[in-house]
Amino acid sequence: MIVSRVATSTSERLQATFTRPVRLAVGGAGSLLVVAGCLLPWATFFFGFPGKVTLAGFPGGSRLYPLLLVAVAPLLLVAVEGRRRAGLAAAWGVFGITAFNIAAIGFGRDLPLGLLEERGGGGLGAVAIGAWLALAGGALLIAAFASLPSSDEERPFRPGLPAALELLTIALSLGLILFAVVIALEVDETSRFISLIAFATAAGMTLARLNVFAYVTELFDRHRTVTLAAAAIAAVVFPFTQGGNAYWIRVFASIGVFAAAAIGLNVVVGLAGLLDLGYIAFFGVGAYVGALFAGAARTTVHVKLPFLVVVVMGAVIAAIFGVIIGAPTLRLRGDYLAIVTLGFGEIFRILAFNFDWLTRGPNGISGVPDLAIGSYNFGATNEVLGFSLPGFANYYFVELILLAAIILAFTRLNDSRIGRAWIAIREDETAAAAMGINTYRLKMLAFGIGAFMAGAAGTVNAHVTTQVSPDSYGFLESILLLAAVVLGGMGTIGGALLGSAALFIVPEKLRSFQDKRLLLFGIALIVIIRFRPEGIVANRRRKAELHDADPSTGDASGAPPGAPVVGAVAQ
Amino acid sequence: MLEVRDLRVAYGKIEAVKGISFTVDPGQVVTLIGGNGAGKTTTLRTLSGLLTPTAGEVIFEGEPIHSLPAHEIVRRGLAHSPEGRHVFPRMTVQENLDLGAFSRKDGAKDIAEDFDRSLDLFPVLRDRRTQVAGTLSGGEQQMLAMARALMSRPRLLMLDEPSMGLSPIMMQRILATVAELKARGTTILLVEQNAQAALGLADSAHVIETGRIVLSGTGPELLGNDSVRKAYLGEE
Repeated sequence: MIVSRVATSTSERLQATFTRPVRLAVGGAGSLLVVAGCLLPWATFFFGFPGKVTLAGFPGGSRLYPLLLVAVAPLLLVAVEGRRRAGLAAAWGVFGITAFNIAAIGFGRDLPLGLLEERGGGGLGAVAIGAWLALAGGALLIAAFASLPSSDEERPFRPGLPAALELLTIALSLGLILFAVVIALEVDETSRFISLIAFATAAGMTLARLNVFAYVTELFDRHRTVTLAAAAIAAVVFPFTQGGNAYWIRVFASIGVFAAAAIGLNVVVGLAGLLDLGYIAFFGVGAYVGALFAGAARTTVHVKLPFLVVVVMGAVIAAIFGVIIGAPTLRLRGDYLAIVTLGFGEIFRILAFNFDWLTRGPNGISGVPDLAIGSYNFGATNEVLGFSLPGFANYYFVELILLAAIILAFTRLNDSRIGRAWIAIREDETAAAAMGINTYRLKMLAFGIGAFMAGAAGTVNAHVTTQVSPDSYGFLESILLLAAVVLGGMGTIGGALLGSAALFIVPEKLRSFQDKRLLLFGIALIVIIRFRPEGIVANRRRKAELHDADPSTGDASGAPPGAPVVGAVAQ
Repeated sequence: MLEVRDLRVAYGKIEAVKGISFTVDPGQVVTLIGGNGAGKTTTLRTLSGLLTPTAGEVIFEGEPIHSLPAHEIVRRGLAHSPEGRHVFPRMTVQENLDLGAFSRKDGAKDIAEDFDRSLDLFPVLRDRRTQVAGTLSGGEQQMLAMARALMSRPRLLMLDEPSMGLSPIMMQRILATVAELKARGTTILLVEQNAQAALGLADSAHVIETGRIVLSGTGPELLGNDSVRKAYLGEE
């Protein structure tokens, strides 16, 4: 409160004192300082601080990010004057990233919470001139943008492009997303990854405040088929870009399986509005069925069935469990349902622990063999068109097909009569019943379909992880899955995908955070729910639900009325 | 058309409706009046299947419906505009009306006709078709709830407290619409706190107190009844 009042009065004073020439001079000087600073070394002596920050003349390490941010700053200041808030986001990004890196270079692993496990720690004396210049430049940029009048900042960004250029924009945007993912995957050091996240946040906010996202989203929506096709192609091409390395293919296969389950949960929570806290149990049922009937090395059922049969079987058995659990509980509403499903989730885990004759108790079923269709072994490396594809790519493609099927089912359901009935139940169950909607049966259907999807994903997961044990299907996993759905955006496909990806990649990258993963996730959830309660990828209706009393927070993607806000991938 | 015989409804051990009987004939407006907690809303909720009776029978067009679930009852032509309006707040006016026709199996053309007819009855809603229902005024939400109930093309329309919580002007407009529906030959079962207006519209009326019908008659008869005037019309 006090801080914001001080900030307001400071920017008022700046607005009063800075005339346009002064502002341009300050902003120009700031930009030059940042550029110079990023080309000069950030650390005076090198004792293992990662990222080549001691080299002069090229922006190694985290120095790239302020440089990229500052590229737009003069443009915002001169060409499109009035973009105060967008410019401020970029300027604060420059300042913040630089300040963080100064702290990382100076104090490294001495930072609170053991933030960085890498070296560093020479004190501020280890910080070289470049970092200080960039920091000063960032501060000047903040001042320059703060001095802009805050009046005409809501000019919508909507260039009238011919259709061909619109398609090109879509292709470029998707390419940019893919490029960003590849870059992000290659960043190894924790401090650089944090800088990258800060950069992504600052750049994202800048673009959002320029309404670029709303525009691109509108384009995606207008050219839906093209977008979907392009996204599908990108997904198929991905394994070919990995040069025979299985690591990220494996990670993405896991993300895909997780996302498939998250979309299933999205049917239950996002569409029908039923809070299920034990959902991972259905995923577990599928995984056990998948492992038991795959001819695993250490198993209790010595029957091997064809993979496709097992997938269907796992899905159906999970759906049956869904109906068994749903039948008594779906007569309950809200909090009661959440508590009962939580209990059932625990029951599943405890049964899996104790039914040794079937599940081998805590040892689980392990040694799930590679799939084979005829003589084609899924575990072997393949040469396709001169590209070397690691064996794991096969599972990646299996997972992709599963995900595509589940996405198709979700969109169809969402647009159907059943989907509308679910939304009605979510909004007002009494009124839904009075409209002639069979609420009980439809809630059962949502539960069953959600369980079916989770079961199918589970059977695939048994092959991805090659082993199944009770501890993988506890309360924590249910909560993480739910968090992925909420974080990404309830009721949307893009949200489930994004949430699952974030859930996997971020801990993978922040290895030093490993044991604080939940802390990080908790903080991220709080931040998201405070600033964007509808999730990263918003569903039009849910956005309306959460923002109708508070239009001021709807700026992040000021979509035109009636235009559904969908994410980068698809809804 | 509708025959209620000795209907009893309980919430747990507490009996809210203690044996009510009345009939509604085609084209009639029948009203139930009574104080808070008398059992009027409970009666309507039971008729529409949202609650299950503990005893008694409900015969609608010759068939017992008291053990049917709510969605079956709507399908048979008994529509309920619940107390407190219950519009879907985050759906648009159009989507709300579409859901009103959810139970119908007849063609899109018939539904579109009814859609037009509903909007003719409530012209305000036509202007607000794409507006989210939660942002409508109370009176407009009540209109939407009634229009939505009409979208199921009911043979009998049950209105629960349509004028509750509205400004006097809006109350008059809603009640004028009820009168217009009556003039068009719609059969209506009306529960209303505004006894004066309700009795003015009613062909037959019943006074409910603590779960029992204590007085029945035509609308004008009850309007002239001394104890009704004292208890419900605020006259000494």
